Amino acid sequence: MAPQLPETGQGSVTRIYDFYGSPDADTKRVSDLIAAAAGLTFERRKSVDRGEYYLANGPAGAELVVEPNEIEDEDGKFFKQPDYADSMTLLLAWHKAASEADAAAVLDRLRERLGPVDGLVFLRRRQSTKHPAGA
Amino acid sequence: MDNEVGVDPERVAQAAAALENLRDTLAANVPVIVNTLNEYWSSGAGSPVDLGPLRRAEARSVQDAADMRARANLAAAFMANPVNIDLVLGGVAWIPWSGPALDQADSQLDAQDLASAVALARTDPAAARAAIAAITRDIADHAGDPAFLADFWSRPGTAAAAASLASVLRTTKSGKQISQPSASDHQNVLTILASAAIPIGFSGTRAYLQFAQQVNDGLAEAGYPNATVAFRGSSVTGVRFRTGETVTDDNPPGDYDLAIADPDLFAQAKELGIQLRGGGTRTAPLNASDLDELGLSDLAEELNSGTGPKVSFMIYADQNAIDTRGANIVAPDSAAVTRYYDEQVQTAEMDRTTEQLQAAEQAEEQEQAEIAEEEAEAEAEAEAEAMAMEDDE
Repeated sequence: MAPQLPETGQGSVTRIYDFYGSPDADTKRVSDLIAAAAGLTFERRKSVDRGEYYLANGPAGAELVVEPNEIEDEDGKFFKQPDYADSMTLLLAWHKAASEADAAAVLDRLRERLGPVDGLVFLRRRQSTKHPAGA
Repeated sequence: MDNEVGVDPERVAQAAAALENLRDTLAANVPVIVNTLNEYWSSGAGSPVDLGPLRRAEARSVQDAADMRARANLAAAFMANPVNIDLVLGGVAWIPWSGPALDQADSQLDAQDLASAVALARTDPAAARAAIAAITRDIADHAGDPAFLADFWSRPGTAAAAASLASVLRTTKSGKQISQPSASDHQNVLTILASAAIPIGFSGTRAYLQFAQQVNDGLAEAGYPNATVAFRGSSVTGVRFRTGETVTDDNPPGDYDLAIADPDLFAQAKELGIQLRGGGTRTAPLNASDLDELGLSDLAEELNSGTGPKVSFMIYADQNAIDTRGANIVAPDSAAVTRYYDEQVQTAEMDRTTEQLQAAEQAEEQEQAEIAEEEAEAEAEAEAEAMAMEDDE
């Protein structure tokens, strides 16, 4: 399914990224729990660099990616988010909107819905705002 | 040298020609024989015999001929190097005989020949055309051999060289046009590009180049106009990550793993504290937030907005760091893509001009013929009139 990103026109764009973690290493199980809580359908995808991951697009336009924190390459095993090594599975939910308030509202609603998901904890939020050239 | 054998280059070349003849003969006749016999048997006549061996012989002849031609090319290349002449006894060339070693040596030779042909085209277009035609034949022979094609296109600069071939062919060192590319030049370039320089999953050369240009433009807009882009993963190897499932155009890759090589972008990633791998020569896989920090959100969102494969990114210090990780296909840079499209437009214009000239020539010829006919008629009438007057007198 293609992401349903909102049309932001030529004005400012704010992107907000919410990171969650789960101690459960079974990425599929975690994605199933998130899907049930948020009313989403995840699609399993594979990348030689990222490994196996699950992708979903929320009705309000947020994109959700569930993936293992620990993966392996030629150098050995490593954590994508070493600061959150307790989390074996990561969820990154992000959204972009014309205003910070709009983007935050979507992700805050999602956070509420994910509250009951067993083991899933909110880790951090990062945001950026891009202003149009010359603004 | 354990995996290499000594061969007589001339005899291997003869064997290659014989196998190519056999391949062409089987390709032309086996389908006719099989269809004819099947129709004959289905009508109730005669007793069916197993045609499997004939079909298998036809199928196998393609690879056999390609392998023998590869050996002949390698043997010729070996003997063409003066260093080897001093070492050989009785005209024997040492080459890999079979398996991946043969494929790799052959693809490496083709890639070297392609680079040489591009350089040669600047000074001797005719010789370059012959070299390009030979490479085209070899690549066409390996059309069903993804290992060879992946290896060929993973050689640095190969894709860009292929994309720029036609333009190079018609320019001198000073950039002056010396001749228009012929239809066969154009076809050769298209064959090279269309047969292999395309990661699995693209519908054709145009779709691939459009994608490459989209990435090139996005990187330039983000402030990295000199970044080079390479494909890694199942779209190159034909094998899906971890499961080993075969990836084909009918079962395309789910994701494109893009490797971006740019020292400035890589330095920016380091400065942002993005995790490094590969002994500090590349980043870890990047998530959407990392891409945002690097100014690549717009590009990533644009590439991932459709229903096709999703695109993942990893930043590398340089192309060597990508090559170290194995098979990859370097996408044509902006200049190569532009040259390719210019070439298409110019060829189309040339075709149109040629058609117009031919039409004008035909019209002129027809007009001349009509004038000549009218003149002949007038002359005949005048003669008849003169004769009639003579008779009257």
